[in-house]
Amino acid sequence: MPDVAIIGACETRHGILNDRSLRSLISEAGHGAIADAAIDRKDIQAVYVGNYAANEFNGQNAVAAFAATAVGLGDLPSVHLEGACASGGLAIRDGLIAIKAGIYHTVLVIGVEKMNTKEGEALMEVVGRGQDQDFEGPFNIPAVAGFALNASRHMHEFGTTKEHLAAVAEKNYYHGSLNPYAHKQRALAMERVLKGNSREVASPLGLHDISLVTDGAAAVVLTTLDRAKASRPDPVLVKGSGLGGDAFTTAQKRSSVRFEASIRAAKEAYAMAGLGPEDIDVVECHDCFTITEIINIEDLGFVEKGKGGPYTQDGHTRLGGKLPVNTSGGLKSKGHPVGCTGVGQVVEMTWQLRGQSGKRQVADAKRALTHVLGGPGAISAVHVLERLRD
Amino acid sequence: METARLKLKTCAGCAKLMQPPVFHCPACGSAELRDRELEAKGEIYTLSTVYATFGSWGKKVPFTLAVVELPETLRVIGVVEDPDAATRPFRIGDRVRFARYDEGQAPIFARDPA
Repeated sequence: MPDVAIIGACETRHGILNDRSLRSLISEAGHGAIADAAIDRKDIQAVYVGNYAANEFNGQNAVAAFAATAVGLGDLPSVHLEGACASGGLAIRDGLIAIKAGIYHTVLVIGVEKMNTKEGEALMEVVGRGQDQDFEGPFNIPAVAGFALNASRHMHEFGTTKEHLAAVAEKNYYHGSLNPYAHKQRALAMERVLKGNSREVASPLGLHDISLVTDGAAAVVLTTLDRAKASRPDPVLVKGSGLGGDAFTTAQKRSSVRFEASIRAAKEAYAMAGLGPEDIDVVECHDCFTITEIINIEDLGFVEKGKGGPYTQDGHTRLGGKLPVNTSGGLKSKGHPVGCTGVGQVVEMTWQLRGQSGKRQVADAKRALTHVLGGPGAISAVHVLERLRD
Repeated sequence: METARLKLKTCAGCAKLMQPPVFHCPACGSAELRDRELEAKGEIYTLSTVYATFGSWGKKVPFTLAVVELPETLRVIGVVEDPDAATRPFRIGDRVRFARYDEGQAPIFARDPA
């Protein structure tokens, strides 16, 4: 199987982008990634698209063909992957598999969501469809309540506190304040995070425990390592990829304090990479809610189960700490355009490994990990990336 | 008052207990599933009080969502109700029993006084 590398990466500004159409976001990210790769667009052989609900948010189905056409590649095969919040990670993974299988040598992967076309209950209803409609559906469970069930149990078993949760939000707001692409680019003092959280949305989670409703797109060009080396001096190797599953319905899971899907995905990705959590320098993981980041850093092996809260509060996951997590600001501050997120994470980590991250650059980052989680912890994609420049 | 019973399915092949809808046993694949009704007393495994949501439950906030662990090694997601919940909030480990289904067939549990 050929090794696969990233040679082009681009992301649009994230935010509430009412003046931007779905097509314009795709066009900017897709063309940007191709320009960044500095290849002839004719070298691209297929387009993979991560998107959650363009049919609901934008009245658009067959979004892969729509996206391919928007970047001038309408004559190419195109595939749409949807796995709720993991959609972008699935698109990266399937593009990678196609190259590893020898079907294509170069593909374009795009993640996109333009979701601020809905608000309030209508928005919650569409996002809520990322859960099992036969089991969670009868209660109209919003996504935040599903993860609040994880938070309550994690607090019960390990003594995790609201201050631990707030430490995730405060840290990610700070990181986002350094990211010119982020939806929210303003740091927020701990006292203000806690004050905002005093009004609960689904106990124990409050306003600042929840990720943002964001529009945005991201894209990467994947190619064989041989081609990558001919294209640019600093390709980023996709060294490991893992995809994990777990029961889609909350009550059928074995535990609420871990996401088995993440554990399975990480195991596969680390094995393929021949690396372990101790080899990783920087991480983008799925902080759809603050509790999710705490559980993720445990599931991914960076800290012992139950210790994610104190580890965060002690500053180890902050820029300058042992293992900076969500340097982009994460879903909390860069924002969470659902289908874009998994691709956007890979863009952020590619920039980190190339040394292009400006004020949020992690010094001498050599290896990075990305992680997305879809549905109520039912689908997870993990990728391990390594820089090849000296 | 007649005791409320939770409607479940049990596998004729391997005796696994399941919450419907289910059409084949996820453990052994058998399609021979039998109805089983259970008084359904258990403990709260985890919970969250929801202050905002959509649809019919959006009009009933706040309500407390819970995963209830039954001794028959089955967990069920439901809403727990108690007229005194404001002064005596539900906690993990509290004992509850199945009380009724709401109009959307969602299981509702009540505090188990026993």
